[in-house]
Amino acid sequence: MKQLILKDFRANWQYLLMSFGVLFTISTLFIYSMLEYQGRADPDLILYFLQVMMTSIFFSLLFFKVDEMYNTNEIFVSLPVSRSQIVKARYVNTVVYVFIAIIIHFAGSQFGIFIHNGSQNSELILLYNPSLWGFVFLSALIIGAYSMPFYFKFGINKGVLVVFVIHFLFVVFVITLIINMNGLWSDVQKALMSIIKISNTILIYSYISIVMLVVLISTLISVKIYKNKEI
Amino acid sequence: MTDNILEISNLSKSYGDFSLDNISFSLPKGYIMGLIGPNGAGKTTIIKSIMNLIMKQNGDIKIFGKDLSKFEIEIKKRIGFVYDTPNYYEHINLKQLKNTIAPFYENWDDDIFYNLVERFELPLNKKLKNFSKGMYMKSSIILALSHNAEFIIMDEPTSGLDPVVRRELLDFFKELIQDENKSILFSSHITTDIEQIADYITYIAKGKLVFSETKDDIFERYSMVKGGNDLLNEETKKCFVAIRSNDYGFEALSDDVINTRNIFGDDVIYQRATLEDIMFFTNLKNKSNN
Repeated sequence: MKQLILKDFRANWQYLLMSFGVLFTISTLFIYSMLEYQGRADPDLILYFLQVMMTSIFFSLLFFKVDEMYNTNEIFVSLPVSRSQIVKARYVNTVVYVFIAIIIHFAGSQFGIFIHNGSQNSELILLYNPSLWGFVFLSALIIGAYSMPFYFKFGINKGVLVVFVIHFLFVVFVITLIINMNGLWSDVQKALMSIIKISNTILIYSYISIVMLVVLISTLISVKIYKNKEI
Repeated sequence: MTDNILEISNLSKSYGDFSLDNISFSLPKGYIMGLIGPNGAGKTTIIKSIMNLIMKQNGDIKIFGKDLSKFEIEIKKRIGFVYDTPNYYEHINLKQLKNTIAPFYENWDDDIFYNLVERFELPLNKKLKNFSKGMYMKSSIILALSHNAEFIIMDEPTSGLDPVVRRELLDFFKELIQDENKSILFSSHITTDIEQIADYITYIAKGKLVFSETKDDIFERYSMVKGGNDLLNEETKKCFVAIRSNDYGFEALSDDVINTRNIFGDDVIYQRATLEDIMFFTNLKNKSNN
């Protein structure tokens, strides 16, 4: 399996460098323009972390995309590896990619601050909160984990479309619930507040456990799908 | 220990309106088998089943005497594969491709790789997207051979190649088989290629096995027969797989030369049937049966 993990990085390093360059630039421009036009970080920092999460997971699809673009599945399934190993390696690579992407985003944000000379902005303190970056990393993994079985099932192009439709339907469903059920939104807020009041340590470990469970279940589903897939 | 490198028994697979129907054949160690049949006959489906790229519905596949479903990784370490359209990362060069593929094989031999690269005059540092079809196919063959594969599976390796490259590859395959430890399964619809190099021929038509025999047996059994239309009647027609006739006479394929000679004697002309004749007349028979 080690070779499967390495081959994505070994063969696609040019695409990887390019994608990291894009992520770095996005973060630099985001932070720079935030400081330039508003002079204050809040509430744009929430949007910043949201884009960090979304772009990191989006660009982690690079491995799927390149394999699909060159139709290399046939070759790699023919090598002396099992299909289960191919799937697991892809999950490991996604985790590694998202981790590196988040570091690149952080570096990009620091470069944005440096060129704007905005280090004095007290709101930027959120950027130096490791728990927040950890939360973004874990949240990106959850999004990736529930999406990946669709990519293994339908391929990346159709898979992204299916995941997009699911997201859209989910948002429509939540909005419909909020509009039609009086008091639901305030109940949700109360529930969130009570969760936040729980000790940070319990919250962190609980979230890590949930993420690990979702990734594990997702891996098992993807293995099952890919084992029966006709190449 | 079995002497067959490949044994396929009752292989079945259905896709919509196509089905591979209980295919069984075997290939002894050290020989080349040509898998022939018209486009869409099921050759690629058989090869994909052997490589476990598609899920068979029934049947067993044994390679090196071992069940493919149980020993897939172990078996694939000893197999080299060449596909009709080799799909590699095109943004890298041959050397980078070698560095990507080689670590998967314990028996990878860089000396073999570089010797073959030199023999086929392939550039190591040119991106694969700039390779011609012939260069692509040669690269694929080099990768299939550089880990000392004992069994080489090739799906239409010569289709779409110019005659010079085709000839070069066929000569190379003939050389390759001098090593008695290597066996080749080679699918093609270019029957002349198969006639040149195969020891065994397996003919598939519409997902069914027509025959799987040694080339010598096939050419002894089949013959083209040409004669006047007056010789044909309900009884004599039974000698033939299929008949094509016009105002000047008939041309037919016989699959029992001895019986045909007994019936027609010297009143007709006998010619050696080519694989193309066998495919054409078998296809004609299938059409008339439908």
